Amino acid sequence: MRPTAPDRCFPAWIPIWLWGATFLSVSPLRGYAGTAPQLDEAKLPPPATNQVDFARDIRPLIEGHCYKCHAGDKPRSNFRLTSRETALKGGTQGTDLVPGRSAKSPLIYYVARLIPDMEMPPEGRGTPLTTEEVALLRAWIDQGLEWVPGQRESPALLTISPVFGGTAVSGDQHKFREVTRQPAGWNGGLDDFLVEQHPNPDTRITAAGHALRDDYKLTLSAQRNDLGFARFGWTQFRTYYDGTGGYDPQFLPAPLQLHNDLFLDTGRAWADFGLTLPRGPRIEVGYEYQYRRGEKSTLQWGPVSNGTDLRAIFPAAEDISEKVHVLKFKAEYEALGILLSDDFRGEWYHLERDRQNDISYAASSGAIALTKADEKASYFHGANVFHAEKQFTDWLFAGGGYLYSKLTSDASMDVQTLNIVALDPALAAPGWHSPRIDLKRESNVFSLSALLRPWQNLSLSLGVQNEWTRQEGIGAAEVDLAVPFDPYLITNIPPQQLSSSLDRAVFSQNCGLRFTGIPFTALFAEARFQQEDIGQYQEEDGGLTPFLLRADESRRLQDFRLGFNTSPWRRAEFSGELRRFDQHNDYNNSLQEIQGHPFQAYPGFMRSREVLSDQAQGRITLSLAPWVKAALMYQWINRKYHTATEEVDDPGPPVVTGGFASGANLLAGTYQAHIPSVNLTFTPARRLFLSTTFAYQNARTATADNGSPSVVPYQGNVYSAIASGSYVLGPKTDLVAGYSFSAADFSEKQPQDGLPLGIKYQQHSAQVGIKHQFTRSTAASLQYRFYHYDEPSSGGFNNFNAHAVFATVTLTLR
Amino acid sequence: MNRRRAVAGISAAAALTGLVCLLNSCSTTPATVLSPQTIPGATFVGNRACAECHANITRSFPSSPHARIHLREQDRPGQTGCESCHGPGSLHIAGGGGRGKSILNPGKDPAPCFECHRSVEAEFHLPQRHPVLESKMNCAQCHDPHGSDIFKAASGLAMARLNEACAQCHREQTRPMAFEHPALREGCTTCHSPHGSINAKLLTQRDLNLCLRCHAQTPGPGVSRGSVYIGNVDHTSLIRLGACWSSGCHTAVHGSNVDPRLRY
Repeated sequence: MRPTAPDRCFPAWIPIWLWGATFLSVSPLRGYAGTAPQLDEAKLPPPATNQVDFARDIRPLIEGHCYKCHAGDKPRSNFRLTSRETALKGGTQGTDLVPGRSAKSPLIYYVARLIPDMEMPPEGRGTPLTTEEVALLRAWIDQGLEWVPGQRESPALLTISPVFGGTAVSGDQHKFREVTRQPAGWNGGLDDFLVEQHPNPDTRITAAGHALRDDYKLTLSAQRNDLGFARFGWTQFRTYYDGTGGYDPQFLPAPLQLHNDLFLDTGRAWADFGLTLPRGPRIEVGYEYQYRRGEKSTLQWGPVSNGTDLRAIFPAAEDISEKVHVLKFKAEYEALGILLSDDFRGEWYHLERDRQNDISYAASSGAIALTKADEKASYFHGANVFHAEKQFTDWLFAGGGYLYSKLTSDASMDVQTLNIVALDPALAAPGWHSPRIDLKRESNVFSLSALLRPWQNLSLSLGVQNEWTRQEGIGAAEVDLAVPFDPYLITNIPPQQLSSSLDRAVFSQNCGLRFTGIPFTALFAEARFQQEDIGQYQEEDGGLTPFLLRADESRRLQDFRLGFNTSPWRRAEFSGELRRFDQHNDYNNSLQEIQGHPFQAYPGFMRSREVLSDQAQGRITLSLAPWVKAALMYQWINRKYHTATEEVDDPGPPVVTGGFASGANLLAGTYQAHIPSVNLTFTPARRLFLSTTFAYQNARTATADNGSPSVVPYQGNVYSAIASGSYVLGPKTDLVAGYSFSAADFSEKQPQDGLPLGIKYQQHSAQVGIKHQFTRSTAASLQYRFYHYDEPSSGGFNNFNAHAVFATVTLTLR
Repeated sequence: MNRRRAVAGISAAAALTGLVCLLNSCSTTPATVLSPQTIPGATFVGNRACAECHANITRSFPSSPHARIHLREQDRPGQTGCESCHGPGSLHIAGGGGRGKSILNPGKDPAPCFECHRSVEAEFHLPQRHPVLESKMNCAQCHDPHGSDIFKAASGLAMARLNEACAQCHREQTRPMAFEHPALREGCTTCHSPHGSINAKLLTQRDLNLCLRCHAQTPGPGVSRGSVYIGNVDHTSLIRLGACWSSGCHTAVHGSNVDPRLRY
């Protein structure tokens, strides 16, 4: 045990040799050279005379007085008091304990507080040992320093939980899988397993994971204190998708559905190695392979014709194969009180995506034409972050960093129309064949931040971060038009040359103030500012709608928060917060159309935008009685979107100035939400625990519709309730129960003028279970779950009911 | 008038004085009722003990939004600081520390986060959600609970970079494109509700309102009532089909390499 006085007395920047010199000057084994005080062995309390029991007498003593500093991954002075071996090994500066000779063990002099400035535990870090406790320690050393491993040093542990059961679903199985994120039918395997072994007190080896249907995880880890670690793992889980399209009974009596087995498998395998020597840098290197593969539904629904009108309700899906190889390197080193770190990450990414979208479907005949887009993209993205931080004084902590990242990518795209003959005669579908598109992006980011605590009750954080990014893209494509009559393809369209570039400079500043001078109260104020300037260039040379756009965008953002948190009474806590977010974008567009109608150019028509958001939230937490606690929360959001577009004259004749677009500022949209929620926690008896949360949201989004009956506000209510409880039936038996409910009604009724897209649904999920501990090493549980889902907005075609039963056995071997 | 002002001023001063007196009078009673996490057999040790090993976290923690509830630790250790979220630390210390040993890790189990963020927990029970309750993700993957910027992903600079948290997994949507949707420059949350939503793909709105919030065009005198122009193009009949990205038109919502109008 080495002296480790508080940081304010012995700053970390004091060189190691000075610590060494200090040690030499005071070590009792070295006779206290120089001006060190002379030891008087007679001042030590005599050893206790009784037979010491380690578990009863010594373990509580050292755990209570010593473990704050001399245990864990980074023990002070590298002296770890967690096993006999590490205790005898001593710290970085020598032996502390000599078995059988307590009077020659430095540790005894420290805990007896006989050496000035080297008392253990140091002032403010623990209660000094009593004379009796020092006597016990002396007796323990003199009697041979016996050490009985405690539970934490248990040499091996094995826990394994096989589970088996199944879920019976009536109704839409695909929707069941999507909503509950689990498969229908049987399921089982290992719910959880853990193997842990401690070959010696400094080494820990573990294997853990689970293996269920469509859901796997395996982690292996080996760690040795003061040396390093190796970690390996693999995990994969499945996300399910429902392939139901839109529902409009005016068009089709039932929604169209993709009957494919839609799912995505997401996985990750990794190997990480680390070096954690007590002196020297901490180094970690690793490799990761991430992947996603499968087929998922999309919202890119296609049009369906009933002979007189169209609605986009035909479902869509896409095949995805995504692979990422990641190399990681991280080094961390503290020198002269400065913590330096460098973090590199290199990613090799490859994507293959194949999506098919209906472009024309006649409900009466079933004739369908599809666009098929095959896309490939690969990139390398390297990013390195260098960071340094230092505690300069008690009241100033500051850090800074630099990030550089570069991305180079190539991509290809092939869009074609399938079954052209089925295409609606009024339509022509463009196709693109682009063998290569090159993209690159480069970013430089600088960051500085500081935390100041000029007074005990005041803290001020400041930060700036500036980013410069340049992005370029260039590609070529051949364009054709697919038409539903012979010769089906029109290819006399000039080849397309595409190029774009983006220069982006972002300057961010933030500051935060926290004041805790009022008793039991924290006041805070925060502000974030951001100025962003973008220079953009886009060109489509040739092709269907050639144009050249140069646009300068300037964005200014301000975000303010103000609030408090107080607990004036022991049983009550109040908090409140106000927030204002204001973002303003100005666009300076220079659009040059090379061909075509002057009013068909979509890009670059905005002149300015503003998003202004006001938000307030409050919270009251009351401990009404020792067995009941209530929390009430309320959040209010009011957001306004303003847009101004370029003035566009009606081409006339006569020309109407501002005929199509007046250029005036328009309240483009509003969003309001009220979100109250309540939580109640009951523990009316020691055996019973109940917790329930109810949340409600009333939200409304309305946009400028110019009187169009196709646009209606998106508004409605969302209700959520979550309840859970447990009851201790007996010393070995627990009952658990849970219930969750959510419902929403955002249904829209405009079937003659548009597609109703708002959802209306209700879902219930309930579960009850019993768990019994049969023996010290064997437990079992049985669980029943019920699910109900009702969605009138899809005509009830997504509804389902499900019953699930699962049995689990848990075996624990030590 | 002056009398009214005087009365109002005196009333305000009295109310403020009363509040200060009230707060001071309560300063002798322990606070607060924030429910700390529990670990069987463990007791609270206070923030200072945590700082012994985790100084790299604790020294910058006062700048974190989570430090707003960081009251005086001397009053009730464990209820105000590290142990509010990580649970009482005595067994963790007694066991020699170590990752996840006798200590709660909100990075693996969201329960400590939900203790305060109840409405977020409710969002995770909606039909469309990120799989946090299913233990496939955790809060710390997207949030930095200890740093000054709660939205910063791990291993970054002091402040979050745009879409940094989302891009860790959603590379397909956030990769560079020759023609990108400028909305991505304002963040993924412009259109997506990240915790959970009633709408597919975690959209904040499922219909035309999602796009018109930004893309509505000022109608001029030449535009008749009921007509909707977007980008100088008459979309009146097109918006009858459905939403902009699900009408067979602007399907490449995150960006396109071939079409600046984001149709493919």
